[in-house]
Amino acid sequence: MAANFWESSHCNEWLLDRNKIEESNSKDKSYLTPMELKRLRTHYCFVIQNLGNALKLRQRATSTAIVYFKRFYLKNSFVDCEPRLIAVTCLYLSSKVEECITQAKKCSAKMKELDHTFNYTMNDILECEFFVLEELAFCLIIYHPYKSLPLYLQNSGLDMASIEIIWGVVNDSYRTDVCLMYPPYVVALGCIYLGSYLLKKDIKQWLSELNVDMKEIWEVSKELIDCYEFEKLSSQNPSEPDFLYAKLPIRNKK
Amino acid sequence: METTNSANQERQQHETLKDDPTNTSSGKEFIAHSNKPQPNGHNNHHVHHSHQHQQPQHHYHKENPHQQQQLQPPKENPQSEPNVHQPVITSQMLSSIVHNVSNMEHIQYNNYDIPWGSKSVETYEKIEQIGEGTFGQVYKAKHKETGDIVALKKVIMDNEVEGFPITAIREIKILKELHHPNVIHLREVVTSKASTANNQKGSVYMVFEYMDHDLNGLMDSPAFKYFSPQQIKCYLKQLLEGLDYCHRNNVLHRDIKGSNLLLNNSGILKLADFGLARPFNSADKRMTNRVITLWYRPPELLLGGSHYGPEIDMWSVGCIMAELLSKKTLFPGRNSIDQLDKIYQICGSPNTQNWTEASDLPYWETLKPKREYPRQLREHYQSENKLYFTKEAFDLLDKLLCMDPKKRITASEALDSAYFWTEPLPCNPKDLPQYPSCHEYRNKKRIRQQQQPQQGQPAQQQTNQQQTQSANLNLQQPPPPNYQGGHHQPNYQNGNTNINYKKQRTDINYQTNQGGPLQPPGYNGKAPYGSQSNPPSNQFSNQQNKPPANRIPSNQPTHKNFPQNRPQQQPNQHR
Repeated sequence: MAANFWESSHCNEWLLDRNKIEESNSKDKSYLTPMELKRLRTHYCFVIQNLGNALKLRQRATSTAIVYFKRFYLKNSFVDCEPRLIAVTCLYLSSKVEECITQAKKCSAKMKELDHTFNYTMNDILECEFFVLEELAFCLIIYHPYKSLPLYLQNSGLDMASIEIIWGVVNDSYRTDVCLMYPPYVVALGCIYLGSYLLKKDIKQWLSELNVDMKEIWEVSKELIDCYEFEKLSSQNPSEPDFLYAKLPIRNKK
Repeated sequence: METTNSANQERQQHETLKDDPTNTSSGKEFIAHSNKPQPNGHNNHHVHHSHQHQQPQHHYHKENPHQQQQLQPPKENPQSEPNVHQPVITSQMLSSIVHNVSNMEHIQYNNYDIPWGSKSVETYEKIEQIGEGTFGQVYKAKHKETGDIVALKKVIMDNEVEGFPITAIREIKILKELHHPNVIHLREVVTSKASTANNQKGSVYMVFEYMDHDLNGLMDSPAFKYFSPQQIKCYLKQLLEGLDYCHRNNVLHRDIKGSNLLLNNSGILKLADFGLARPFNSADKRMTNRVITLWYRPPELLLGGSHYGPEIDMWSVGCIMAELLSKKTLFPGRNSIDQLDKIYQICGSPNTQNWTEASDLPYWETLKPKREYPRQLREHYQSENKLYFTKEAFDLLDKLLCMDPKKRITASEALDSAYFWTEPLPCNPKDLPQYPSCHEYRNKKRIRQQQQPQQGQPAQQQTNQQQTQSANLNLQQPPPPNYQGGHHQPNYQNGNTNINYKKQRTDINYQTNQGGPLQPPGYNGKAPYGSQSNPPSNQFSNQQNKPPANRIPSNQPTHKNFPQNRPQQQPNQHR
């Protein structure tokens, strides 16, 4: 939605600092090391992304769902709330909010195709939707960096063909916590900065002329690099999420 | 106490572990400040917990954080020997650990499942029902602690196949973001716990600021005759300001009508009921065509258009303006065909000159005007009071009711129009008279109560819940004081009026509901103000002929929330 970001709940209530984000999944910390927890959290971002693709939802809805998922676990833990169910529910809810509605039945069916151990039904999703809504404090509109990307690219003199790479970087940024910490325009600039580096183009001059905090932009790109490195490492052990999941004494498992 | 203490200790130890740079990436920030090694008792913790914690399976190289402005591409081989890091705790890390530990107390630990209903509706005390939204009942309520009077709008969940209704999601998501003096303020969203009374389903209530009237309620009340030109200008100006704000934020309201414009006794008008509202942007493709209450629906929607923008709201504003000035509904159509016909007759038939794109609309071939009509908006209101229908008022009305949506005036242009800047100027909201609270719903309800004895069928077969609800309402909701004056009370008890009324309602509404395929949810229909031949200059005598303000035919089954009106088989449908 195109309402005013500066007056939004996203800007005024939901830009969090790192301490706040460290409080996520508090109870899971008794069972997993921080590294393992990070691995599992990243894994569910992939789950949401894959399910969103399978349901042919717009990327925007998928990205919104990932933000919902992250916000939900700020106060909750995997052991209390089955992460796969929450992931599907977040995606279902975001499909409604982003006006590309899908059916709860389809969501659970597709999820079962992707993950055969997923035994939750449509009704579980519908019931869970309430919990998610409440935990999100009914703040549903999420602002994304996508909208400002073409404008920035044009303005920075980067070639429009580079948008594909940078668009991909923005998508990847949802696996980090930058979407919880920084306003979307900072995330967009951070991704452009990283993209320009990958494309071997120098846009430092352009960035320095912007009235933005370079430190934040640098932090965003640093988070992204960390994330890429982390994923490179964890890709050596693809079955780890299942192992970690089994390790958690999740209640109400189905 | 002991358990909590030990739990705290444990958390503290986790924190220590977490900040151990060998384990996490977050440790790296702290190295950024200083690299002094301070192996402070770290090992103790580590050993202590080794039975619980698996060693992290992956360690990776941490970049030197000092090279702040140079980005490093992802390393090919992060680190061949990942375990070489010494445990390092700097003074900053220590203070950060202490900070984190003190923070831990603020974290909520759920020892049971998620506390559904943590922000409970129990904090409010319901006073009375005051309305029906597009998707729920509205109650007047009082905050138990602060005493604030609010309106609680319940989200109806019955018959919802797809979970939380999309209309409620739209309304909540939009109202959470809109902050304007002329847009209703959503204070919070509260919930009620599941119980046997509500079928084991929790409910959701939106909490709004309380407003004393809605525009329809006020126009149906005897006070309406006191609306002065200044007052009308003042309301219209506020309506346009609220709408302009929505449109600038790319939100379409899509259901502008009298009962969705709320007023308070400080003279402030607020847009409400965003149940049909949605964000738009020019790139958006098709949107649903089934929006806006029939009488306020613009011709492009009636002709099946599904690419539209803020113009559709502006047409509704035109209808409201005409209604305020003349006290009559401008286009009281019975169904969408009749509606279009009424529009053609007054606004003239569209043709390729005045509306080039009209012929591209889906229903153009079937619904295009059967004959040519000239535009005679001005002629239509010729006999009206010139104090209300000034030249400037006509000019604005003409531009609002422009057939071609592309040429229709926008909200911000309308605010600049001469109408608002010529004498009599819009008055200050604070100077507006105060009225006893009147909502359209209450008017309806009053009528129902009076009709009930004549129907001879007390609502005995309804569910308990409904009975208690209506009983409560009867107790709590005496008619407002001014309605007890003898002027029109007897009319409603007069059988003739009722028969007449029912007939009229049948004429008006049944066809609407059957013939009009385009009813938005919650469309009630609406009785016209008096017959066209009776100029409404004399409100009270006019009310002799006027159908009661009730806008619900007493035997129409579509409104499930009016228990008295339900046909008797209803309880079966209602679980």
